[in-house]
Amino acid sequence: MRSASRVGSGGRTIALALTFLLAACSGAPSTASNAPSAAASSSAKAGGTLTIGTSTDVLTLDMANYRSGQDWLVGSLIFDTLVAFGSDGQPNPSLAESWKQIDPTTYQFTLRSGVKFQDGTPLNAAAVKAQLERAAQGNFGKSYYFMIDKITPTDDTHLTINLKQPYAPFLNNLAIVTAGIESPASVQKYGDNVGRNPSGTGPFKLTNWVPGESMTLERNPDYWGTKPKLDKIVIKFIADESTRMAALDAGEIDVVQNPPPDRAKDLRSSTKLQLINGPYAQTIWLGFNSSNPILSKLPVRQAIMAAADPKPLVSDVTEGIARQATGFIPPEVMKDTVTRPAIDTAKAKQLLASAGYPNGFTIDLWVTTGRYLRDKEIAQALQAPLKAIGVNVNIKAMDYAAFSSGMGRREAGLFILGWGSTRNPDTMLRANFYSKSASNWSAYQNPKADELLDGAVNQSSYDAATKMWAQLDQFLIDDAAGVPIYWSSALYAAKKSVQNFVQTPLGLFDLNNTTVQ
Amino acid sequence: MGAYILRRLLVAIPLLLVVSIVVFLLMQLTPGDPAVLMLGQDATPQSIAQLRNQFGLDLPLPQQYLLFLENLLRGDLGRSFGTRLSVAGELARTWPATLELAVAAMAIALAVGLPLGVITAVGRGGVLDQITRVVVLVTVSMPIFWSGLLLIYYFSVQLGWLPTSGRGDGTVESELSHLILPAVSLSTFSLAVIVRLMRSSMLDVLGEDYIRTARSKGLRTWTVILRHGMKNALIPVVTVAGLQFGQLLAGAALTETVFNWPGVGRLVVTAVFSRDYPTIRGAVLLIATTFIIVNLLVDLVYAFLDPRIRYS
Repeated sequence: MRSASRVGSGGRTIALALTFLLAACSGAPSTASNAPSAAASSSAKAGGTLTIGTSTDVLTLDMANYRSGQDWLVGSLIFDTLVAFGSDGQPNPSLAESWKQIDPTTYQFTLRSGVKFQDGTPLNAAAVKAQLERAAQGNFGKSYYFMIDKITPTDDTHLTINLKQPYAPFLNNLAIVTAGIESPASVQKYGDNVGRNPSGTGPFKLTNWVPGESMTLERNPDYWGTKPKLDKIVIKFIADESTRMAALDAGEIDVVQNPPPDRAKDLRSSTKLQLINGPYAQTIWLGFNSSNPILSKLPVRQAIMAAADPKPLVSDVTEGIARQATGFIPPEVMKDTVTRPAIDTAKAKQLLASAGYPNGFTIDLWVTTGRYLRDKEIAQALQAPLKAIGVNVNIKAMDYAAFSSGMGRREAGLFILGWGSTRNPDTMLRANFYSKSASNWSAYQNPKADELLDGAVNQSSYDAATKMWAQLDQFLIDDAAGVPIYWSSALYAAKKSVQNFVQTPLGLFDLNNTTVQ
Repeated sequence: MGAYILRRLLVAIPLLLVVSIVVFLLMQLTPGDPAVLMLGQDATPQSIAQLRNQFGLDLPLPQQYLLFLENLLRGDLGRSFGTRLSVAGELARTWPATLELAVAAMAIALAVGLPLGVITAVGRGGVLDQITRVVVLVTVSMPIFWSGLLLIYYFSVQLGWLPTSGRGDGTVESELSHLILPAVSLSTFSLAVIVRLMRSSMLDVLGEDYIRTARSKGLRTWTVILRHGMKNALIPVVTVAGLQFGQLLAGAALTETVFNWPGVGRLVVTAVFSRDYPTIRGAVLLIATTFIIVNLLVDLVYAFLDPRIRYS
């Protein structure tokens, strides 16, 4: 979900460093005491207005046809899903008051009654059917709802969903914002422009949107749940990381998305600002292109795993912001049960020699610039430990557009890749490690992995599926399918006056209890 | 004169065609598939193919180009791959901001640059001349994203005088306060060029016979400089200032990004990273057209300043 639109990070970082060096020389404090009059937010009454600076604009608020992580971020404030993940990590009731799984392919839902869309029309089973069918047809929702066979409303508050095949993590996919229920009247009225005129049942409603500039959301007075404390949320799109941070320093905005990680230390000790850092279910790993003749050999991959210690990468390179990963599945998605082989340079050299490379080899390492927290810097920090076992790494850093296109053609050798944003282990593992998956950029093929993936979704219960995914996660480590480095963190910087600003492990906002004093 | 303008405008058409072909080819050579980018890592080949079809990216390249031309003639620049908003609408929304910023920057560059050029020419070798030379050298070599950040840091964060970024809420006071920092930041390079040029051009003129004549007639020094020197010294400056203005319009991308100024430059930067072809094409054509028109205007002003120049 991290934006690919951070521009020219190298030169910018130097410039920023110089700026702060100059500031340090002049002995000036890093935060202003006299904020300009433009800062209207802090003078608002209890609850008040929260102004958030984000890195990119939203592309559409038609959730069935969402196009970016940012769409989900704002969409989740406007729309509700049938079920929603609670803090316990389990699907909890949301628009569905209760549900029953009759058999592996049949689910019955009872809707909450008396819920109204923001356009005033009532929520009913027909509206749910219409939205889920739209989502299943959308280019983007297809991968989440392909398993739905038919949806049958029995009356206004009851509906049955039949699946084409058992799919154990079905409820997880219903909790994705893409399945956020939109008013059918609104869809009818606005047609192709519904993405600019959203009408959900969520805690906030959209009242103004200037493309590329800002967006205003107001509290939904008819919200069915506990009403949020905030009156208003203003989202300003500020692409440049340093400018976004300056707007916070100057007091113009209350919260900043993705502050520069090198400000973390300074933010932690600041008296005016705070660092908000919560787990984000995204894994970043060092991947192997298995179609490369060297990397296709198991001992070579195991050697690299034995040499690439994620610990210093996390503690130093990410400034302790991210969490050291063991397996591929982040702990927010599923309990982590993976054990990793120890870091052992001598053993790594032995493994390389046994594979026929006693003197090592030279290989490219593909990495994006600024898409994931400290991606390029992680690649640079990996050069030394790999050099120690004779593997010379050439870093090929590029923007995500060029990266994804080359990865799709399997041109990389080693690479650093991230995956996140849904709470379904199947989505991530299948995309990356299933032999027939188009996005299996590591060209990884192992019949056992395929068997476990297919077996898991076919289980009649989620618990049974979980056991198979845990088995697969361990198998991927044993087979050195990749080297998980860190589990991400969503990073925000905020004024101290902002309280209870919560982000969910999916990188979304929960602003129902947020206040600005 | 009318025929001259018409001819120049007609020449612009093949020029714009060449520009559009180059943009088309450049985008093909740049790695990155808009459909793959948009659908994300878990997209199926089917949905990628479907989206490429929606975008018309599965057609042969010449056909894609002809389709683009055909739509262009109808005034349709297509829709952004990302936001699905009409590109023409997006350009119409962002263009005034870019124009406003470029005009403000040019105004600052001229208002400061011309007098400074004249003064340093008259006081050649003096203290002011030396200081200006150093300052100009430093400004020309400063990357805009650094000088921009410095301005934000001191004037917005430290002093709290001006807002850090954005374009204001529509009131004149707010618009102006938001305009100052980006305009100053954008003006620095042109300002440096104009000072240097005005100074050397003025020095040339001051050595001419007609200046000596004017002086020997007993006119006051500043009358000579302003009435007789200035008009002649301005001629080369106008050409360069015109070209600079074209560059300000085209090259404001960095300034717009740093100051989050909602103009065409920032639109293009975002579009490039998401390989939003229709937006890139539309914006480049708009910038090229502006550049051609500004150049034409410069040539016309030239004729006005120097009656010896006649276009036919």
